[in-house]
Amino acid sequence: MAKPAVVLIGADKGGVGKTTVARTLLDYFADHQVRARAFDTEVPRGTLKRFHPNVTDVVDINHVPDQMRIFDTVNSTDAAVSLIDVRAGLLSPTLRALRNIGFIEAAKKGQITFVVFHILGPSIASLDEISETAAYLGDAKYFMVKNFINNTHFFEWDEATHASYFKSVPDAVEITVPKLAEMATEQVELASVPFSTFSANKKQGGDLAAYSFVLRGYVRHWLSNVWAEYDRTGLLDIVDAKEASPPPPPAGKSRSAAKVAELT
Amino acid sequence: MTGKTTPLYVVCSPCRCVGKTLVARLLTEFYALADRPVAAFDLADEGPQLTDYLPNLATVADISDLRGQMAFFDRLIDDSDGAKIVDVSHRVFNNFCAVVREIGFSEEARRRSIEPRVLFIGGQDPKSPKSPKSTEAYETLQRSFTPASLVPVRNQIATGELSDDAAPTDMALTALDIPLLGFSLRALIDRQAFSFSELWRAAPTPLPDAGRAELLDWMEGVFLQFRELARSVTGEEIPTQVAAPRSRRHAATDHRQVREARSTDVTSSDVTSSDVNWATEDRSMPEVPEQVRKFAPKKVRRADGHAMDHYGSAIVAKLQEAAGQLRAAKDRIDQLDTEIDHVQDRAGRAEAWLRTLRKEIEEKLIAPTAAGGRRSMP
Repeated sequence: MAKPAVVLIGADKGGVGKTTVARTLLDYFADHQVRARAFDTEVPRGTLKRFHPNVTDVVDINHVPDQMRIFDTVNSTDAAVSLIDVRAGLLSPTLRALRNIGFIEAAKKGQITFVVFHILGPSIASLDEISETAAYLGDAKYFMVKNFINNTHFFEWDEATHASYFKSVPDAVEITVPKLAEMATEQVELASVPFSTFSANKKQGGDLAAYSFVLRGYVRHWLSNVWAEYDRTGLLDIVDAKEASPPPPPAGKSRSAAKVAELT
Repeated sequence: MTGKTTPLYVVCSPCRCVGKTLVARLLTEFYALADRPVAAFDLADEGPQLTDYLPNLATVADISDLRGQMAFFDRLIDDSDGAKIVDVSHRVFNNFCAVVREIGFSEEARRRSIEPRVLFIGGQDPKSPKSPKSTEAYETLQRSFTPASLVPVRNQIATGELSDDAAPTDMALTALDIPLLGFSLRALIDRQAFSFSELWRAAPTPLPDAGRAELLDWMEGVFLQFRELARSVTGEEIPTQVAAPRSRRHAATDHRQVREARSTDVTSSDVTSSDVNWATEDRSMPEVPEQVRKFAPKKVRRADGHAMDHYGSAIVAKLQEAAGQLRAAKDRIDQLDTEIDHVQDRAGRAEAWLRTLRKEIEEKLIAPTAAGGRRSMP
């Protein structure tokens, strides 16, 4: 069996699009036949669970029994990837807890693949979060995500400041999530389905829906751009899902662009 | 879905005043004459528009925002039968192509058995004989649609007789050719009250017989090309009466004979199509035997008629140039208006935010502090 992977998605600030990124990742893994399970730490409601109910559990990450539910089962679960959508403000405490239970040490020893998606906000405070987060990472793969889906303008970052913070984490990889038209975002929210399901004009149960073709087109285009970013970073190789991944795409096309085109 | 191939014609150009609306009108009326369901969409943003000519068949569409795009493209790919024709303004050309690419329109159309044909009218760029603007636009279309769906159109009515140099360098052979039409007839068909269908159905017009015959002949030439185009899209044969109405089949035949005769007897520099009074030749001596008739002098309009057309064309060209300048000024004014609206909108939102912040500060900071102060007072 492949080495299990834990993907942590978080930020210390709210409203930066953590759950959106988590949703794109679940879509990405599903479309590449990588079995994934997800934990939504937004207790008691859980936004991620609304979109991906079949693979998501709502947990309280501060609660020891829930921590056991996640981390004690990493090796025994069928899922190759355990994805954790960390609630706003809990990224640093969660990383601290992981260090305390020896999880980060296990990752360092190569027993587990540990991936962190740090969703950055537009303010300078986000840059401060980077060094704070980096202190816990050890050998984790660290992705810094600039999420433009909420029409964010990273206006507070001048080049020099940006470079000084990013250089402090030499192995970090920057990912850009482009903007999606507000109306398309709203309609997917209303439909409460994964992005790929919306693109395929399906409801949660698999029945045919009647979503706007234009909005589906925009979502499909946006999702292919996001997935191209994941392809660029070699995410599938990182989570050690190579044996599960499909054959390479035709020349000139990224693997994900080809996959998203097939969604409809 | 019916499983039947539905034609979708997109009439477009990166240039203004090249006759996009005329081609869209002709195509729409071609289908209407054949009693085929047809819906036209007007993406033009300056008059006279397709909807001015065909208010019952064309609807205005606006793709400048997402709502408009949904209203337009979702209807374009719906499963209803019938040809769809889109008249794309030069100003929305790039946006139209960008949206088509981004939403994957061609793929969805293929899935729904909609066969697009993009009727592309190249324009003559005054800055270069190689027309880089048209070439660039053609490349944009090649990225947005399949190459097989692109149909270059030469509209001689609007652009004059283009030399080969003016066509985009990689453009395929012109597939549709809208021939020249005399000045007075051009003026007539530009009237909003004018209907090709009505003329075709032999409705009375203020036209003299000669002009009527010439116009019908011109329409027939265009409709025959449309019939071939329609057949290449759906494999369906549009009824032949659309290409040759019973009421004028005889006249058209005579007309062709006269034209052939003219090509041998008279050089093209002496006579233009509008110079010959066809109807007079056809109808003034119906009972005269052919042996006698062939010796009759050809009734050719005097050369000053040709000169009049020439001067008229020059005046129209000047007027069009002035109108173009006026439109450009109007565009700039519209753009500035939009920017003002945008800035006002932002200012309004900023004020609303300030009010919200003030309210929250008052409620959460000032009011509790004041209440605390009151409580601590003896």
